Amino acid sequence: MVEDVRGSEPYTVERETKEDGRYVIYFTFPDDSPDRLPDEPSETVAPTEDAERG
Amino acid sequence: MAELRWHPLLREWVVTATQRQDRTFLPPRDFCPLCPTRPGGFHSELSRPAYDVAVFENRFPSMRLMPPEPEVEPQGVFDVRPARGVCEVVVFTSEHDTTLAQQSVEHIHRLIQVWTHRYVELGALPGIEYVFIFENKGEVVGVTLHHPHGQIYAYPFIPPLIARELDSARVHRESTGRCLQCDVLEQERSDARRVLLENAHFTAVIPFYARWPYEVHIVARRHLGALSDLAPDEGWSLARALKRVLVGYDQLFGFSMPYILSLRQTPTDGGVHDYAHFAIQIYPPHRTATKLKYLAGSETAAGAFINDSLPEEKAAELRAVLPTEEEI
Repeated sequence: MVEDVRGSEPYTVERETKEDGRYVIYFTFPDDSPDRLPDEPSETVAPTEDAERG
Repeated sequence: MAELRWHPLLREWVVTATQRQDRTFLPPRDFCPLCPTRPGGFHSELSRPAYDVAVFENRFPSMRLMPPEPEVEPQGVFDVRPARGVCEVVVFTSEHDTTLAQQSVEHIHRLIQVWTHRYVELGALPGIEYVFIFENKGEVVGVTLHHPHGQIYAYPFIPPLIARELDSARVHRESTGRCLQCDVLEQERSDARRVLLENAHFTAVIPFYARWPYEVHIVARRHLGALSDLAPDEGWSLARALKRVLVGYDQLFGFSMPYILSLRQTPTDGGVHDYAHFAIQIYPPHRTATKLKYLAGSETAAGAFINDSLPEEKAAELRAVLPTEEEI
C-alpha cells in the first residue's frame, strides 16, 4: 500500500461512473503548463569506436 | 468468470479470465471505443467530445475489486483464489491516428503524471501488491484496438518476472550493500557500447543481457523506486528520453515499431523494497524489418531466451537513427 500524498498537481481530475458501475477518470492539463526545462545535455557518454562501426 | 489458479510447478498464479474471449477486436475506425463520443456518433467508452488523457476500468477485466467467487474449490495442491485487482485502460490522447512516439515531449510528460497518479492511487488500495503499467503496441504483439492506449494491472501479488528481478536486487544488496541496477548502469556507462542516449537524469541502453534484439531499458541514474519519487526535472528527463527512444524505433525500419513497454517500480505490498530501481523496459518483437522474433520452444517451453544478435551491434544501429535532443 502506498500513501496517497498528492494534492498539488498541475492538472485536474474528474471522475464519472458509467451505467455499468465502471469509473472513468479524465485528466485535463492547463494550456499554461510549464514549458520544457532548459539545458538538457544531449549526450554525456561517447560511443566507442567499435560501437560506431557496428 | 475470472479466478487465480495456483501453478504448483512454477509456483506462480495464473489468471483465468474466460470473459476476455468476447472483448472488442480491431473494430472499424468509426466504432473505436477509445475515441471521444461526438454528437450523433458512436457512443464510445468516453462520453466527452475531447480529453487530454483518460483512464477507465477495462470492460473485459482479468481482475476486479469485487471479484466473483471462484468456479472451483481449492483441493490438494490445486489452490484457487478470487481474481481481486484492477484493470484499467489508459487512453493516451483523443486522437485516433497517432502513436505515443508522435506525441510531443510535453504530452508524454502529461502521461507520466497520469501514470504517477494511478500508481499512487491503485497502490494505496488494500491488497494491491503491484501496480503494473504497460503498453502493447502493434497487432503483432496482440493489440485489439489501434487507438493509442496502454493498460494498468493492479495485481494482488507481485508478478513472477518482476519478483525474480526484485529478488536479484535484494540478494545483491545483501551481499554487496549496493543497488544491482545502479551497478549494472555503472558498468554499462563505463563500457558505453550499448548506451543509446543519456540526458540529465536518465540513461537508455540495450543491456548486455538483452533477450530481444532491440530491447531498450531507460533507467533512472539516481537510485529511486517509482514514478512518485521523481523530482520535477527528472520527470521531464524521462519524457525526453522516452520520446527519443520511441522516435528512434520508428526511424530504424521506416515504420511504426511494435513493442511491449513496461514500467518497473517499487511494489505496493507494504514491504520494504528499497533495492527496487525505477526503469522502463521496451521489447520490440522485430529482429529485422521483415522478420519477427517468436517465443518458441526454448523461450516459451524452457524459459531460456535465444537472442540471435549482438546487443553491441544493435545498439549502434539504433543509436545511429535516434533523434538528437534538439530534434524532439
